[in-house]
Amino acid sequence: MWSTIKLFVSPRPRAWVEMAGLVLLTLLVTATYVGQGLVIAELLFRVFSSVDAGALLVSLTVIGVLQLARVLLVVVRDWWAPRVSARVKEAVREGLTLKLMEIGPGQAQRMRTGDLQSTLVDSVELLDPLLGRFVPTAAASVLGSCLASVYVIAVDPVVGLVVLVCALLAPLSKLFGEKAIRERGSRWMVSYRGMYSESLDAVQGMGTLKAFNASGRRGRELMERGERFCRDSIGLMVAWCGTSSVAALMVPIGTTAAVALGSWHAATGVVSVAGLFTILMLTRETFRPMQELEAAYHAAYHAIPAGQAIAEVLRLEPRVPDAATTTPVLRQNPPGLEFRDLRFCYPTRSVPALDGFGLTVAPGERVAIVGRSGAGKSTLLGLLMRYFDVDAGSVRVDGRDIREFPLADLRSLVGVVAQDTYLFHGTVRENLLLAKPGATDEEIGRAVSAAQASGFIARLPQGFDTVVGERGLKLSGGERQRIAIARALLKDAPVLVLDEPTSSIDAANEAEITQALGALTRGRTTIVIAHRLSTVRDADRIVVMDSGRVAEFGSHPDLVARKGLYAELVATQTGVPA
Amino acid sequence: MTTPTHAHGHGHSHGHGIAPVSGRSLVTRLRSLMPLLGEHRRLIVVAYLAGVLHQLLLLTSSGIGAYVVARAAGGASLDQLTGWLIALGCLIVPLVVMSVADSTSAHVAAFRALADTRAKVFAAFERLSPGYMLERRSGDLGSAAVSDVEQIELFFAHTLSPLAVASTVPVATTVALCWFDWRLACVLVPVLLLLASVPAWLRRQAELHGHELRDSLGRMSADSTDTFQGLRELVNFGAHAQRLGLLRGQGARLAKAKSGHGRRGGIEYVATDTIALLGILAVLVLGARLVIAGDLDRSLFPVAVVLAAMAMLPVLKVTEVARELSMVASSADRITTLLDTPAPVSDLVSRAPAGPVVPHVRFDDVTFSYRGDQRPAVREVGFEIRPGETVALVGRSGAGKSTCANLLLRFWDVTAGSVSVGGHDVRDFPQEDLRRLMTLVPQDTFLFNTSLRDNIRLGRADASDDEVEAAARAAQAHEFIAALPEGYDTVAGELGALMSGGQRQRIAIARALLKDAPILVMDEAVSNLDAASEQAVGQAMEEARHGRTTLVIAHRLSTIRTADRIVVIVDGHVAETGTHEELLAAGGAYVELLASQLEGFVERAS
Repeated sequence: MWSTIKLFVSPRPRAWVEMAGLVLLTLLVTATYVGQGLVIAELLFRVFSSVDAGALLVSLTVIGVLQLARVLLVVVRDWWAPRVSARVKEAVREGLTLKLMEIGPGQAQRMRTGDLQSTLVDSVELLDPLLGRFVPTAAASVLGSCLASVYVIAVDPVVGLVVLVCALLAPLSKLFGEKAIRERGSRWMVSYRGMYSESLDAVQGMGTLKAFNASGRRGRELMERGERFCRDSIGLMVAWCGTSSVAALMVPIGTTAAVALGSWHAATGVVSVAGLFTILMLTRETFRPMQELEAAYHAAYHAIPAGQAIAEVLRLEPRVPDAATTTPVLRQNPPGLEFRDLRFCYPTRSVPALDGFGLTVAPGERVAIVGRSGAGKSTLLGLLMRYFDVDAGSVRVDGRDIREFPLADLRSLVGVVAQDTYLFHGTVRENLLLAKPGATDEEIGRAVSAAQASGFIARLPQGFDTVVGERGLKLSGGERQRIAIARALLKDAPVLVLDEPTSSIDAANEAEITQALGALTRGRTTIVIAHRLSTVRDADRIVVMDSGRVAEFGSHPDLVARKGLYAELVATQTGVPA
Repeated sequence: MTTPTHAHGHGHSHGHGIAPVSGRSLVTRLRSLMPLLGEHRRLIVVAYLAGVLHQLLLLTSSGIGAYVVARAAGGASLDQLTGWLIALGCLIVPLVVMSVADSTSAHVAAFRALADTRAKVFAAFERLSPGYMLERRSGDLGSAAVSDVEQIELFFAHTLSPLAVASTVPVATTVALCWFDWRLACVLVPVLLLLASVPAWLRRQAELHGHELRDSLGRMSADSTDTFQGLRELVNFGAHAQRLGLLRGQGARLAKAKSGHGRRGGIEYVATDTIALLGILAVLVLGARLVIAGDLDRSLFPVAVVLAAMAMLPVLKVTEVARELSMVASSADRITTLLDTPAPVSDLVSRAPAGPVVPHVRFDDVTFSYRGDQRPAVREVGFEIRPGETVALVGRSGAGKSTCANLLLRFWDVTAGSVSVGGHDVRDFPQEDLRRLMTLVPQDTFLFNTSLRDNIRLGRADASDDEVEAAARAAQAHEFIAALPEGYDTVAGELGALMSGGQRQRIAIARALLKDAPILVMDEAVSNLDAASEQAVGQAMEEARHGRTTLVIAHRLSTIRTADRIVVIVDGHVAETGTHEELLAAGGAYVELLASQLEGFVERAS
């Protein structure tokens, strides 16, 4: 637990100081309770020994002042504590986001969305009770108990020490059960996350389940998971209650011991009557901080496995090292590309995706790559963008190995229009500005009209300020694609990769997109991964891929005339034998 | 039912899609959770009894403690106190046992009730899908299924029995104080009532904070998901700083909401703390006067003060929980709204029509509008598919093709007209029997996060491994599955984006083949496959259609041409019907629609 806390606070050392501030505030609150206890003990004694009750007013005033002070302290503390943890959470969240970007889409693709979402959001939120409450309370309660017991010790050292030992034993008893709680806690967390992902899965696929009359079966599986989660919850709770009850025993034992010893000492004259009342009132104040600690621990204990989940992500090592620091100057603009004897196998596959692929693209040339799915076409894009690194061979831009470019610079050289365009939740304008944060309205307008997108954007209810929904689903495939093209125009990168850009567009929209793509490719070195003849035919050169290598290349008429793989592909697409 | 809080949602927030903001009182909203407790009510009663006993034991032991101290202060010898001290010692173990029993049984009741609630929520999703889901963000729904249910734990485990205890124990204390002197009780009662009223003071603010908090959490959650799912775009555009800026803004909003929540909590805490102190002081001052006047035994005076303090404890505990109840109430709203939403279609009959059903599909003057839509999605659509025939629906996206398929599967019921199978209206079948007659190959194949084998087996739960493989072979899916290192045991979720659209479709077709229903509904994917994949999918489709009555929503010429009849849908209406050649000759909507594909075709054919 301690190492997890240290990991989170390390990006923001000032948080230690701020937490110390919270400890101080909490101690001051404890001090007001101790003061109040002393005054009430004094009052009880006076009334009891029938001393003049006239001084009552003074005591009441003191209590009033203490109460006022406590009101202020608590309000300030409860307002401030979320701010302290918010700053740490911000740092942790940024760390997680940067880590995701560092490992990139290649490595991140293999994590489950549900898992990651619960780590990015829920687990981070659990740091509130951990850092805002538990850590400061842990320190403050130990000090607070000591503080309260000081007065008891002053009155009667034996009673004071017994009470203090009982108070301090309460949290220590947690240590015995800690292992069980930690084990059951992580089982609980695994169970919870499994259930979360499975529920999301089932809900999203409910249409399919229903169509196959399989929802009942799936429901039963989920119920079993739910049942397991229920058992894990109960298991954790029992372990929890078990250790808590040991702690809970300490309170009545300590109190009873204090009363018995105090009464004995009073009877034997060791302790005065006034002292006896102080013991009565302050014993409770000695235990109060420990009860608060118990409550804070209870609030924070889910944070322990959650913290481990965060730590796991933060400790991920990127498989693509970003070693280069200086940006090489381009010798040619647009630059040429070279894929030299590439070999690459996905971590989950046994068959290599690329197996000796070689291709040189001249500056400004437009090369189309065709082939059946699984031939390795899209892998080329992943390697050029360095989502993955090659197993053997090299990818060169402008004659330099891409590993000589800092990652960010490499990626800024390449514009991509993929088959499915991701639109972020936000306005159309925000989505466009992703490509060039400082773009003027005029630049945006130009890009949008070149991308043939101005028409439909103008028809949206709020034009550029229309919010596009989750994953941009409110726009049609063709509209999304035109936004992607406008983005690529704004990015204005010298190299362009079009990865099946017209594949999710229905036939009626294709002409417009093709025209927009024409505007985009002008003056750039372009690789088109495609299968539509209309897109492929305009290329300077067509490369046919098969089993991770180049099968044949040439112009459209050449390849058709060759009657090879290309001619075969053309024939199957049109349904007319070549 | 729309209130101002609803308006600032922008459709972006976590919960707004599901439940309207309620104007009902917190108590009413929470009470709607009670039926979810079901049989576990008994455990809550056990928790309550243990809780009351625990508090009474606590009162007794504190009282005895104070009494012993008072007697000792009054000069009693140790011998006189021994009996009391032994009693005090004997109370320790029962005290702890009761405390453990209280929280254990309340938690077990809560965890069991949560499991039951999850089952009910799942059943509700099942009843309402897919119509209900299409209108909402999937993140919302997952959240409803898990987080909202988790939220209500606070109510079952930490609210119900403490609330009951808090309304019992102070009564007992008051009676005890009455026994000392009735005036002491009179002073304490108003203080207790005042204390109990604290959560109501800032109720409006509490609800507002609850909503703000959920809203900003929802946005944070949506933006984090966006970050992960759009990672490729972010990396390609080097938009790190932009994204961090956005997340930072959301973080600040969330922190502000939390801080407001915390501040209100703090204010409530000090309010209850102050009132509790006033209560103690009132009893102290009055007790002092009574002692001086000789109306109260001096040894009972500290006991009265301690009892007054202890009487507040259960109430304080409840007010502490009450601070979080507005969050619970929002979750309760979402859950109960979900559970209470009527199904878009329900079984009107319990048994399917007798005798074998001829797979003959007819749409007669079918009109349908989605809930809340003015314009019908389809109007007066009529066509038929004779047994074994294939009909292709063709049209632009949004023309109403998928609606037709959904009406045949009875995901919705027609507004007017009728859809019939074998001469029986689809409403004359129980849903399960109807869906046994049909199989669906949807546009986007949803793969569950289980093995590919189990994904295919969805078609028929009892299919053997060999049957699964045979179906995969027929669907042209065997080859690529077998090439995976773990073959059929590969978990689909781990493949993620590594699986192409064509491969997913072939798995869907394998599922359909395994199900072997007489009617096939295919929603062809819009995305174009590369030629080889297209050929493979085409072959698989051919296999699936063989001997089945097929309705296919088609986009590709290669598919369309093989249909027996083509129905062209424009703006929800049937524009043309005929074979490929007939429609080509007519030169109408069909030719216009497929111009770009026909161009290639015509050119190569000429």
